[in-house]
Parts: sequence; C-alpha cells; structure tokens
Amino acid sequence: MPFKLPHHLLEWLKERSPEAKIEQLVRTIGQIDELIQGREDALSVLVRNHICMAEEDCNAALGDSNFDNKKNNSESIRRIEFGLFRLELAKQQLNSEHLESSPPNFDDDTVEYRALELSGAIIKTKMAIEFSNCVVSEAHKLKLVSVVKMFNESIELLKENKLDRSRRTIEAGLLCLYLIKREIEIDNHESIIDLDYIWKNIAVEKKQRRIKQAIEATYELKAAVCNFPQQASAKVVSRLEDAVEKLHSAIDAYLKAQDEVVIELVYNTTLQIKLAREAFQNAAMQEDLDSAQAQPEDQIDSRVKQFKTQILVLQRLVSNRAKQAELANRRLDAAEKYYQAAAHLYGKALAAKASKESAVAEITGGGKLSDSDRKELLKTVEKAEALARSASLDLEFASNLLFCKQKPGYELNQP
Amino acid sequence: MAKAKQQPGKNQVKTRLATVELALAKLTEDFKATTYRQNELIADCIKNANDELQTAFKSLFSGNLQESFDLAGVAWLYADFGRQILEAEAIEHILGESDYIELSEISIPWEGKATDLLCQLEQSILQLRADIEELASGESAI
Repeated sequence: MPFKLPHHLLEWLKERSPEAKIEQLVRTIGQIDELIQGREDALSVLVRNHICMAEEDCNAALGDSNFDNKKNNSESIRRIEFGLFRLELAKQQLNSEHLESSPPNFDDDTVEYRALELSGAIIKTKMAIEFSNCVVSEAHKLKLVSVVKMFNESIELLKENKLDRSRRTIEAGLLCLYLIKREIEIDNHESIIDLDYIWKNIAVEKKQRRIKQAIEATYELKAAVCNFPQQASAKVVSRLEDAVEKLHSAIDAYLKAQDEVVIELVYNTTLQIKLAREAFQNAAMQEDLDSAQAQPEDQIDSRVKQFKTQILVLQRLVSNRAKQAELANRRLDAAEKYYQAAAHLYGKALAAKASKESAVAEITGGGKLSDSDRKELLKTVEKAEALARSASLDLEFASNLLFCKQKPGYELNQP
Repeated sequence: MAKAKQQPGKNQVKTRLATVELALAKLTEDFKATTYRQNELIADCIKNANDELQTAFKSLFSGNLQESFDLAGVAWLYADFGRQILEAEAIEHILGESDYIELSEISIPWEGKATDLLCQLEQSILQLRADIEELASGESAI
C-alpha cells in the first residue's frame, strides 16, 4: 500500500494551492463588501480601502505572466496571502466594532509612555495658552516648535531602537517645555498650567528631577524680580541670566548623556540663584556694595549675552530652511565671536580709562591721562573697532548667504 | 532603565493594529471634515502614522511580531498626537477665539523673522562701533 496522507492534511494541502487561495480571497471580498453596504463611516472607508488593496494584490498575482495555478509561484502567492491577511484584519475590525476598544497600553517605564506624556504636555500647554489668551513672543513660539521637533526626533530614535537616546530626547523636551511655560507665565504675570505631575512619575531619573528643581528655583526668583524690578540690581539680573543659560546647557548635556556636566551645571545654577536671591533680598545693601566700575562691565556682559541669544535664535530659525543655512551659521558664529571680543576690549578700555583717570586725579587733582596711557588706550580701542568691523562683515556675509543675493536685505551703515 | 520587552502574541499584534488603524481612520475622517483650519502638523501626523502602519502590516505578515507590535505603537503615538491637536483646536474654534498657537515649523515664514533678527544684530554692532568711536574720538581730541 502506498503511503496516504490523512484526510485533514490533504484538505490543508488543498487549501494551500494558489487556486484555492484566490477563491478564498474573492469569497471574503464578497462577504466583507456585503457587511459594509450603504455605510459611509470611518470604519467602512477603512474596510473599503482594505478590499481595494486586496483586489490590487489579487489582480497583480493573476496578471503576472509567470503565474501558473499548478506551479507554486512564490511572489504571486505571497501577494494573494497578503491580500487575505488584510481582509482578515478588516473582518476583525468589523467584528470588534461594537466592543469597547481600548487604546494601546504602555507601561509607565516605557519610552512610549514618556512620549505620550510629552505629546500630552505639549497639547495641554497649547490649550492653556489659547484659552487664557496669553501673549507669546516669537522666540517662545519658536521654542515650542522646537519641543515638537524633539517629540518627532524621539519617535525616529524609538523606531531605530535607540531607546535610551529616545527617552533622553523626550525628557529633555519635557524640561524645555517646562522652562518655556515658566517664561510665558512670567511674561503674562499669571499661572497657566500645572505640569508638575510629570515629575511625580517614579520612573523619572534623579538628574532630571534636579534640573527641574533648578528651573523652579530660577523662575521663582525671576518672577519676584519681575514683580519688584526696582529691587533687582544689575548683578542680580546678570546672575539670573547666567542661571537660565546654564539651565539650557544642562538640558542639552542631559540630552547628550553627559551626566557629570549636568551635575556641575545644576550645582552652578543653584549657587548662582542662591547668591542672586541673597542679593535681591538685601537689595539696598547690595546697591552700596556695587562699585561704579562693575556696572559698565555688567552692561557689556548683558549686551554680549543678548547678541549671543539673537544669533542662536537666528541660527535655529534658518536651520533646515534656508538653502545655505550651514554656511550662513558659520558666518554668524564668527560674527558672534568678533562682537564678543570687540565688546570685551571696549569694556577693558573703559575700565582702564576710569582707573587711570582716578589714579591721576588722586595725585594731580585733575583727571587727564598721560600720553603713553592715551596711546595704549587708543591702541586697544583701534583693535576693538577692527573686531567690531569684522563682526559687521560676517553678519553681512551671512545675510547674503541666507537671502542668496549680492546686497543684504538691510543697508549696513558706517557708525 | 526600561524593562526587557515581552514578546507579544499574534492576536495581541493584530488587535493593536486593528485599534490603531481604526483610530487613524477616524482621525483622517474628522480632519477632512474640518473646515475652519487645516493644520499641517495633523496632516503630518496622519501621514507618518499611516506609513508606520503599512510597515507594521508587512512586518506582521512576514512573521516579525515584535517589530509589527512596536511599529503599531509608534503609529499610535503619531495618531494620538494628531487627535489631541485636532480636539484642542476644535475647542478653541467652538469658543469663538480661533487664535491658534502654531506648533508646526513648516508654517513659520522664516524670512521676515530672519530679516528682523539681522536688523537687530546689525543695530547692536552699530551701537558698539559708535561707543568705541566715541571713546576713541574723546581721547584723540585731547
């Protein structure tokens, strides 16, 4: 007796033939089509889409000149099977239509859960701003867009299975969002939304909590300074600006997994804020302690910081948008360096002049500089002017690159 | 640190795919029906979620359950974000304010803002050069 397969295995083999599969596909299309007759809702549109793609798969298999029902043509069979698979899913969707569908559930220590927290926090902030009719500066709008960009980047990293980088990007995004929210609240003198619940998740790392605490401390003081500006000396404002800059650097370092740098920056920020708070609380005494020479230096520092911030905002704005953004950004970096060097030389010249004049005044009762001192001072001033001119040229160069033209969009004037 | 992932079963994957696809279909339908605003970010979310879902289908069909499950999760992240924006803007529209905060970078015309920033930077340099000039002329005049 030759070997004979059992009946159920013979049936199974029969079902595996291309012919049977096509029959099954056509039959299923008919069944499903009947179920959605006369319907125009989202589910029926989706199911029709599945049917359409399954038909395409079927037609492609049948239209294949190599297709032979008796031969096992793998590509055609694969397409038919894929069509059947789509229909199976469509059936499942129709069957579960009346059941309570629950969204995908992610554990609270997964990257996906944190990503949902970030998207939720972005939307809550957006809604809070819209409902309270807050005034949001262009710079803050750009920063909000950059948080959305971080959300998208984190998903890309998640897809590439770079889980730690993805998680860090999400958490850095949450910290940035918290910082922006505090800025907007201070600008508008009102609280718009509570995002503290995010850091109550036990999965949140200690370093991240410390950055958040430093942001809180910084912005508590900033709010107080905004409420009583007359009490805030230049030193307090300068320390606050420095703390905010360090917070941004700390978030950036957290994103890059430079944990030691994060700890150092958070420590420095906390120290700056502690000193600024003490100075703010003892404002009257602090004003007496501030020397006359320190004020111009503070002003120059503040001018340099403002210039630096504007350069950064511009670089972020044009990146991936302007054709020659990369080259332009290099010119902007150069302009910033020249400006900084020129400003510091100018500050040095001012301080030297003031100190020499007061020294001369003590001896002669007058205040004029000696010839050699004047010559030295003029030399420093010339250097500062040359550097500032270089900053102008680099800025003009960057503008030409950004707008791809011979002349910049604004006329550079000679001082 | 995140826990090691547990391999999902085929039915789990299929259920997730079906749920996400249905949610995406509903989002697409609602987005198309929106007359007051067509937010580019929502359109991007729908496109990205759809792309991930198609790849997830192919992965499931090839027997890569974990990959398919994860990709369906990614598609959900996009679809959920799109849904949240749509609902937030619908409320803002119903309240009659229609003053939306733009979260998409595509819509921000960079040229005007860049020109403004370049002007501000130029003014800062000019101010510094004027201060330096003043200091120099004060000394050389003596």
